[in-house]
Amino acid sequence: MIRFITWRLVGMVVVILSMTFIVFLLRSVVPSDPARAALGSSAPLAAVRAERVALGLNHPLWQQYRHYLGQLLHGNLGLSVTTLNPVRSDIATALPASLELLLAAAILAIVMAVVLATVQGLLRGTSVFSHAMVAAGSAPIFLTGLLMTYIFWFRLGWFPSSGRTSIADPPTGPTKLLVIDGLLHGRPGVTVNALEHLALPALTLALPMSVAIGRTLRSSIVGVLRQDYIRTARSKGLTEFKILVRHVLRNASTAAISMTGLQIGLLFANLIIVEQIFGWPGLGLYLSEALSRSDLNATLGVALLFGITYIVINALVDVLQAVADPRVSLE
Amino acid sequence: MRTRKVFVAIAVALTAIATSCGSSGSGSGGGGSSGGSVGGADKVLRTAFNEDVGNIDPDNNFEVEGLGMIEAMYQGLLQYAPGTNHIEGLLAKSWTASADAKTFTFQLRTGVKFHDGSTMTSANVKQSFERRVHNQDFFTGYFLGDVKSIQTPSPSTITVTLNHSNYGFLDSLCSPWGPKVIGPQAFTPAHVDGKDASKTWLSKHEDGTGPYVLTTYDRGNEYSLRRFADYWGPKPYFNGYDIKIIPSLEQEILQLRAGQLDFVDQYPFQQLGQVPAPLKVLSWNTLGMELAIVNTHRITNQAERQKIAAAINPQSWISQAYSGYATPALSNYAKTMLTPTTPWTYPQLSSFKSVHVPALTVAYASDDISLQSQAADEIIAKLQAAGISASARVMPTAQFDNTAQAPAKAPDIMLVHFYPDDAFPGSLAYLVFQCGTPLNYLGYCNKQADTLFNAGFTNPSAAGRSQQFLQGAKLGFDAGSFLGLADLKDVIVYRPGLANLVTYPVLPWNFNYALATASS
Repeated sequence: MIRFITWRLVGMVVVILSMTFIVFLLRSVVPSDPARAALGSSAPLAAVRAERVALGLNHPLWQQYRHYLGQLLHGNLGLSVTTLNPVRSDIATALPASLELLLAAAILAIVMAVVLATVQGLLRGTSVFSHAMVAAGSAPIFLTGLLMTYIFWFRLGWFPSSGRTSIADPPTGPTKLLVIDGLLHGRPGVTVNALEHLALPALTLALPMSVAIGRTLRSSIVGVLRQDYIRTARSKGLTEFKILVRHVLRNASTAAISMTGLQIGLLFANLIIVEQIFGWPGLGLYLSEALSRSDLNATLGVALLFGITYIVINALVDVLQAVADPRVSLE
Repeated sequence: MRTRKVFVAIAVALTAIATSCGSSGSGSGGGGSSGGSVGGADKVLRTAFNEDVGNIDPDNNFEVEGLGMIEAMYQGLLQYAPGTNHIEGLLAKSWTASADAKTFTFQLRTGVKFHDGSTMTSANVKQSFERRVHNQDFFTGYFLGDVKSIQTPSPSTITVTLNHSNYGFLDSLCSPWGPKVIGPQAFTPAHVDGKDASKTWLSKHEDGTGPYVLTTYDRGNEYSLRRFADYWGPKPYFNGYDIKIIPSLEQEILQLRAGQLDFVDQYPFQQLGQVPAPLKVLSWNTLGMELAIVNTHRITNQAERQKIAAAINPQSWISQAYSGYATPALSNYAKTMLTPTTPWTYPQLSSFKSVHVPALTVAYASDDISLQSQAADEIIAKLQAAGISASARVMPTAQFDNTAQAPAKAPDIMLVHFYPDDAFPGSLAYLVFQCGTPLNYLGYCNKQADTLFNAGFTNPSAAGRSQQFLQGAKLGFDAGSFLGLADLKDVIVYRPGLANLVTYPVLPWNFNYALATASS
């Protein structure tokens, strides 16, 4: 197992290095001028030329990559031409909001997936519930988000439509996750308000992920339910629920864990759309603004962060799979 | 069968939910206030920005949507009178200009306070102006790029001397992106921070003289302005503005309809005809100009370019493309900027029947999609009707801005909407029409036109200047390179109860925050 984990970590580092090279190449081949983007459309050509030299764009590509890698190792992602802040500090500002949304969506997705799979597994076939979930999870996410807003806010008034909180002075730490900080500061109103604002965007993000994981889990459950040891468990007099929880879920979880890892990438992609629709002040919104303003440093900084996170999570998923099914680490 | 019955039941239930609560057409909205008088009991107006403000440094941004907010915090020496291009004093109560338009002397108002509590003097004005002079790499550094010297003969007098004559200099001081007077807080050593030149501090703080103070800066989330108690001018009616960031236009519209916002800009033209009562629409002509730029490096034959011009003649389609909020251009300048004695006419298509034009690409910038896509579709249809094959191409904005570097590889036609810096026609010439200028996207160069433009900058006669700018731009029009398409209106949709929304041709998308009131 230790050897397995070690190799996974080494592989992870290699993939991350490769990704930094690809990100750097993208920065070099994008047909826009970073100097022009930094100075604005109306800047005189002489100023633009001087800025190109200042940015080191007149050096050979390999020298630029070496410099870029060196800066990365010091955590320097460059300056945002939009905010004029270091990209690192912009990301640090936006990250907690995205983290809170992603965690809420992931938890919701896993719970909904387990419910979906369990209901389908117990009913031994597709149900109205599963049809509805698949339909909701298959719709384009921007449509789901807008429909959620229209129905649950505009028509029913059940949840707020946008933003992260409507509290004027929310706590700013220690975790910067409002749901938790509200409790830590003894202000449950902040937590409740944060949960209200989280509801629609988290549900929008969670739906497609829950359907994908749920269907995978359900297929695995059906396969496991046919095994001889399940028949033995039934003959011992265990209830279906106890069989499911004690014997089925763990054995059926390998494929679902793998699917979860793959869905993380989709989650990041959908995050950009969902944060736009709900005005959620996170990394997705920061990235979409950076794209519209051709802020290369900010765009690639966030892309790098998403990429590294995805790689790390998938490495963890591999390890989790090995824990769930020891046969994986022996292969 | 049982499954089908359940499906039907769910469908009926969802339909009932969707049509309940506000079946009259306007939603109740969730959370917060829903309706009530504009501004509510605390007289604070609520609006939203579709795109977050990049930064609020008045010397280093080209904000458009955030202009109303910045104009509420900072002021310059001069401004245009409401609804006009007539120059009047703001922080300067009077001024004189030398006959050769090189030296300008301003008498400043006294008793003007900055938001930090200090009193404005000519030294502050000089310090503010010199920030742009010494930082030509700032987005708007070029406004003062020709300044030779700035003198302060007294605490209430400032003299600016230019290297060259410029009869448009006073107009540049009226520009929303023009030089503003910044308070001493921005110039403390800690905030200047060496070469940073206060960029970091001013990107999220302010020290202006305007009627409103920035009280909340929460980037990505919201901004708040509150009335400045020591403002030198008339006290604004509204106590403040709360501005949320709502990137989704659909969300903005829903929140406006639910009464959670008091006004929004950038309402899609195509939906303005269906604005539900009791919301109201305010529209006005700005200096904004819709232009089609034809690539003379790819379409080198003038007859071909003139056939293109004849095909896309805006007379027949502009009004429909913008749902009645645009009129065909009279020249290559907005009619609020400069109007020719006789409107320019497009060539007749019948004169070019035998001219063959190869397939064309019609491009526009990605952040202009909502404005340009309809126009692009109309142009392509008109070209195809004239026997010219064409297709649309959406380009990333930075790539769009970079086309001047390699015009031979750029699209054949580019659709652009320009907001000039100010009402002086030269501001469009030196940015767009002249050889080698930053926004001359497809690198058209006509030396004869440049001679006319340069003469216009230094002509003491206003009528003479107008003629020269028109003649210079006409050369580009006749060459089939710069084709003025439309004068577009800017639009604000607002809740009833708002009154006195004062607009200016030079100020896109915004009204004067300080002058708005509530109707009785």
